Amino acid sequence: MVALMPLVLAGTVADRELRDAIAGDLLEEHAERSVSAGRGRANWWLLLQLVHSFPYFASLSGDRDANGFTPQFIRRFYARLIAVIGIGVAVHLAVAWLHNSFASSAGVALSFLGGLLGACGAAYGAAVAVPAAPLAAALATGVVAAFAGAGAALLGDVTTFVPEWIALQSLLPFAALAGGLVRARQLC
Amino acid sequence: MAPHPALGDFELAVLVALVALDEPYGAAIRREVSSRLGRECAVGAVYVTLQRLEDKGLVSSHMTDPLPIRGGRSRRSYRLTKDGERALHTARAVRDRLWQGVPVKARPA
Repeated sequence: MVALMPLVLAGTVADRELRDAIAGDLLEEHAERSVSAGRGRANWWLLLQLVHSFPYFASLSGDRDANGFTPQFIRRFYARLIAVIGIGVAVHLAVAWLHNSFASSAGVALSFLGGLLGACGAAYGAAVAVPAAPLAAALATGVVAAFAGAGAALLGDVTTFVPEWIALQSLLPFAALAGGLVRARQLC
Repeated sequence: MAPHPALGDFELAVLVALVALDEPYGAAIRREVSSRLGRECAVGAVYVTLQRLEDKGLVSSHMTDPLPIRGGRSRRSYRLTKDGERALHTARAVRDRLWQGVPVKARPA
């Protein structure tokens, strides 16, 4: 549970100083509760805190006035949402193009490499586009790409629904998450 | 003097906690607010409220020096501004005035 916390914070709170302050506070209370009530109860408390705080964490990064989110923030939010979906579809098209090279074993390896790297890079771009919630944007990109890929295979030639193709689509969200993490943790 | 912005119940609880605590930082404020409201509060709710109060100019914050223990961390410490103090006094006066002369028992029978 303690390992999950930085992931949630990295994906929702953009301000690094604030993120560290929140993480420190949660760890402090978790340590106190581990001593007084046991590690299991402390982990449960931390999980509830993360679940209850998730929407608040996300709103910490948005543009707000005294009455809530500003109209500019809402417009930017939807523009970014459309951008993320666009990136996801673009990744899918790239992967579909690579799918044509599935005929040979070397082509399969190339498709995997290209598809996963593409998802990773596109998710990084999505995380840059949505600094308020980089992990959520990255994951959305991966999921959109995977669903688009699976949907295209179902609607199109059923023979393209080979195990390698399914495996690649399943791995896209994880590759995207990795790209988002690189951005969220400011590794590069 | 400019009118003070209206305070919500949770905002009021956070401001009271700031006054009551010797070292007002996130975790301590969350515990104090939870204890005063009688329910467990989410750390995210406390930080969002603190940020909103900061936007209103009622609270200011700064990072403290790292704690003098091994691996000690810095904390984001909060304090009331003059406007915050005035808003708190006004909120209390309004509530006191509201209950003046009302013969209501503390607990219903």
